[in-house]
Amino acid sequence: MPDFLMSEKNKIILPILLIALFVFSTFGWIYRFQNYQMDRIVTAERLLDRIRQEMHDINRTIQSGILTLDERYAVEAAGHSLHVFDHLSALEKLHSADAETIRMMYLNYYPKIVSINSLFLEKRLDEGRIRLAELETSYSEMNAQLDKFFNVRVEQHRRAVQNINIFMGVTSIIFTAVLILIAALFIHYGKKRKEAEKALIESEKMASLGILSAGVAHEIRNPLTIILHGIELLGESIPPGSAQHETVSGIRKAVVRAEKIIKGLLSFSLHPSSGQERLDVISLVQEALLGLSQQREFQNIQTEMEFASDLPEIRGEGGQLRQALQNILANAIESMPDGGKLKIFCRRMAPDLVWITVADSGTGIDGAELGRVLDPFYTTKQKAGNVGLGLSISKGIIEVHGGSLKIESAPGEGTTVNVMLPFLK
Amino acid sequence: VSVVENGTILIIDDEDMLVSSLARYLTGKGFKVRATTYPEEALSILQNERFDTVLTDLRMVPISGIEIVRYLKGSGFAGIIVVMSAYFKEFEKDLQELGVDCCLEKPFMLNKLLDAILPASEPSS
Repeated sequence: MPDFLMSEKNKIILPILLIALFVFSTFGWIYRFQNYQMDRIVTAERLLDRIRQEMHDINRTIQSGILTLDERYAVEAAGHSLHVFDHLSALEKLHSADAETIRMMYLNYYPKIVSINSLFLEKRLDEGRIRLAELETSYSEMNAQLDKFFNVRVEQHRRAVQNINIFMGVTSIIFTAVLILIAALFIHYGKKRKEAEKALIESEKMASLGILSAGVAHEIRNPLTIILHGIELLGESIPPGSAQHETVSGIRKAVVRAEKIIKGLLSFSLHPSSGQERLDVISLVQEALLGLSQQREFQNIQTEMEFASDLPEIRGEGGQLRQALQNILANAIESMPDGGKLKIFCRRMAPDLVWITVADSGTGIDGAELGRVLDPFYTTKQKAGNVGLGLSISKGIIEVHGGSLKIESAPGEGTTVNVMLPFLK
Repeated sequence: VSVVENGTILIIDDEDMLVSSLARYLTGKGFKVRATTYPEEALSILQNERFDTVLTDLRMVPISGIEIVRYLKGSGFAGIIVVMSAYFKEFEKDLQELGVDCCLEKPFMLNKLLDAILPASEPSS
C-alpha cells in the first residue's frame, strides 16, 4: 500500500471509506436484484392477464359461432389460440411451472378447436355447431379453472410485490441509518483528531515553556535576590521620606514585579501528580473570592452566587485550582472599575463535569481579542504591572486537571468564563 | 550600639555578591558569620567548626546543597538548617526525605530569613 494511505489519520478514515463503499455496493446489488424480481413478477402477471383475456375471447367466439353458424368465428378462435401459445412461451421464461400447467389445460381443448375449425371450412356447419356446443361447456369449465388459477397467482404476486416494497423500505431505512452513522463517525473522528492534535501542540508548547521557565527562573532569581538584598541593606541607612528612599522602594517594587512574571511562567511547568487532594468546589470558589475581597474595585461590585445542591467533590491541587479561579475572578472584577454585577454559578453537568461559571457585567472583549486572551503575555490592561499571564495560567492549571476553560464575551455585554472540571466518581 | 550575640551561622552560596550582603546583614543582626562561595570548602569548614545555623544554596557545583544537608544530617548536626533556592521543584523529593527547618525561595526578604533563624539563637542571647 502506498505510504499516504498508511498515515496516522488514514488509519481511521480508510476503514470507514471501505465500509461506506461496501455498504453502497451491497445496497446497489440488493436494489438491482429486487428491481429484477419486481420486473419478472409484473411481466408474468401481465402475460397471465393476456392469456386469460385470449381465453375469454375464444369462449366468446365459440358462443357467437354457435349462434350464427359462421365459419369466421372458428378462424377467429384459432387466431386467439395462437396468441395463447405465444404468451405461454413468453411466460415459460419467467414462470415455467405456471406456463406448463396452463399449457396442459389448454392442450386438451386445442385439437378440438382445430377439428371444429376444419368442419366449418368444409361447410359441415350443422356438425360443427353440435361439436361447438359440446366444446362450450368444457370450455367454460376450463375458463373457470383458469380464472381461479389466475386469481391465486395474482394474489401471490400482489403479496410478493408488497413484501419486496416493505423489504426495500426497511433496507433503505437501515442503509440510510448506516450511512448517517458512518458520516457521524467521520465527523466525530475528524473532530477528535483535530482536538487531539491541538491538545498535543498545546501540551508541547506548555512543556517547552515549562523547561524554559525553570531555567530562566533560576538564572534571573539569583540576580534579583542580590538586588533585593542590596536595596534592603541600602534602605536601612536612608531616612524614610527622602528622595533616595523613594528610589529604593521603586527598585523593590520592580523586583516584586519581575518576580511576579517568573512565578507566572513557572506555573506552566505544573504537573497534576503533585498534591492530589479531594476538594470541595464551593469552598474553592469562596476562598478564591475571599483573596480578592480586599481589592478596592471589589467594594462597588454586587456578587451573586448560586451553588447546586448536588455538587460532587473534585480531585486536584487545591492551591493551583484556587489560583486559577482567583485569576478568573480578578479579571472579572478588573473589567468593572465602576462597579457592576458578578455572578458565580456552580453546576453539575452530565456525564462527569462540574461547571463553574463566572459572569461579569464589565466592558467585555471583542471577537479579535477574544481569540488571544488566553495567550501568555497578552493583556488588554494598560496599567503597568499587568503581565498578561493570569488567564493563560488558569487555563494551564485547569487543563492539567483534565478540565477546560471557555470564554464568551461581546463588547459592552460583559464576559462569561466557563470552567469545566471532571469530578470524583 | 549593643551587638547581641545571636550565635554562629555558616553561609554557603556560589554567588559572592549574595553571600556578602547576607553576611553583612546577619553580622549587623548580631550573628557570628562564616561564609564561603565554595561548597567543597564548606564541608571541611563543617568538619572543623561548630555552627548553630547553616544557610545553604541548593544548586551548586561540584557539591550541591542537598549533599551538604545530607552530610549535616549524617554527622548529627543539631542546629537549624535553612536552604535557599531559586527553584525548589528539582529538590523537592530530597528535601522531603532529609527534612530541613526552612526553605527560602529566592528572592526573599531579609527579615524572612531572620524570622527563620532567630528562634534557635535565642537561648544563647
